[in-house]
Amino acid sequence: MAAPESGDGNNGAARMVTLISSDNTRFEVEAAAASLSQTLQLTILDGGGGGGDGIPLPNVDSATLSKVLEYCIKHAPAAANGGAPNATAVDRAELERFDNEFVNIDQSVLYSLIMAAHNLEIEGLQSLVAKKVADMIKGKSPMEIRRTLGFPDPTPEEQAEMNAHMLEYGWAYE
Amino acid sequence: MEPESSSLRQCRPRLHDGKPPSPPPTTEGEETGDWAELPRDALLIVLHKLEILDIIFGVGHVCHSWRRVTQEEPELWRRIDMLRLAKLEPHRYSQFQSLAHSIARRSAGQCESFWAIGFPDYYFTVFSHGVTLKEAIPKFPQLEELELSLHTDMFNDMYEVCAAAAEACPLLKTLRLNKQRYHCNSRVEDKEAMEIGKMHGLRSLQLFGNSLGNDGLAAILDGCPQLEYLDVRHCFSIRMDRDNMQNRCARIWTFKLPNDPMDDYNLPFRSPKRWCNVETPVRNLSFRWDVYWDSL
Repeated sequence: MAAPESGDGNNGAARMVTLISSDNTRFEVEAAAASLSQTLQLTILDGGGGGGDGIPLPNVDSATLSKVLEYCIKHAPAAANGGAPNATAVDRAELERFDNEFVNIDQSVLYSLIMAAHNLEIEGLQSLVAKKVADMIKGKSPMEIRRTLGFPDPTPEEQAEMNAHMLEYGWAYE
Repeated sequence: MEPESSSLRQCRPRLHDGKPPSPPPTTEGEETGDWAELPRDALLIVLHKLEILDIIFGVGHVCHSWRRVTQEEPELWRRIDMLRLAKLEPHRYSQFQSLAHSIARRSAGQCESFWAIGFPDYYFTVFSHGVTLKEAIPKFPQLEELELSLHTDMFNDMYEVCAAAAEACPLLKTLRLNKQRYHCNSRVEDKEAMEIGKMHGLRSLQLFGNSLGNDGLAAILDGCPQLEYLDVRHCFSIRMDRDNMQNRCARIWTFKLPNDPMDDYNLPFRSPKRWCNVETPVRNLSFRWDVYWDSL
């Protein structure tokens, strides 16, 4: 069974929608996958995104959107089953493996991804990326956290505050 | 279900080479990812996946906007687990005084549980905004489990705390009131035991190093008919060879005697102390009430 080239929402189970990234790249995905986004869900339910229209996403660039949709497509079947209560252990393990690999990315991509997950309100993705960030920064001092995530250089004021903090509580990191 | 999932795999996102890409409307700053500008909700999801110590010592000092989020979100401060800081040395206490005040402010009364070892007693007072333990207990009428172990009894009112719990918490089933050590030269002190004897629903009681004597123990046995577990290790004022005590305790399923081994005990403890007029932890503290009240 082939997915329709350009879904108009009424021909068959796999209704397609078109999403347009900030750099005007068009992505065509199944409505079920795009609906993992709370932001998009209502628009899609209202019949938006079908045909040649497409839903513009001015906050998400094409590289990030492609990554986001990779997540949505993988997770859509489980989400459609209401969190997949009858999913087999193999299915769950496969999703877990996918998730682990999915967040094995550069910190700059991580930031775009956390922003996209936030803007599109994709709960599972928000949680997944947040977990990755939390794992990266736990047990670290403020300066190490800034370095790990790629913050810009601290202002003299911020640097002074961090130095004072380390002077007082540096032993807590021992 | 099978065909559906296979069709989903086919429709990976495809690039359409229709229109030429226009420059992105976002600014350069956003492109490189300014973590300090992370939306509050997104940051909170990260913060909720961290331990409180990471927030106190790390994330809370990364930048001004992150600090603001950690300070303005009492939800983060519900469960305060400081057990990893167990090696806290007495000379750090004064630093922790100011830390405790700031934690108390941030939790804004939302704190539901607080775990710590080696902290001075006044921590509780700080957390409860000046309400002492005996005043706070009646606010938890549903309490089933209470632990007041290693309490240095700064206000010398632990028996009053027990009295408050006995009166206000009819559901109380488990009480742990372990001292750091038994003091040999102190008189038999049954005040706490007498109040515990009024906790009629008690099933499990642990009293390491308590100075209760046979009268106190009798009050507990008579007042708590449902008691199944009783641990009076290092309560050397109890004389099991008198008052028919052996027989009276026979109905307790698990009974740990004063001289029983300590192998299954999970708190720090010290051997019995002969003279207790020196070296109480409280004396090492310079607890400044003026600072404390100013900070509330």
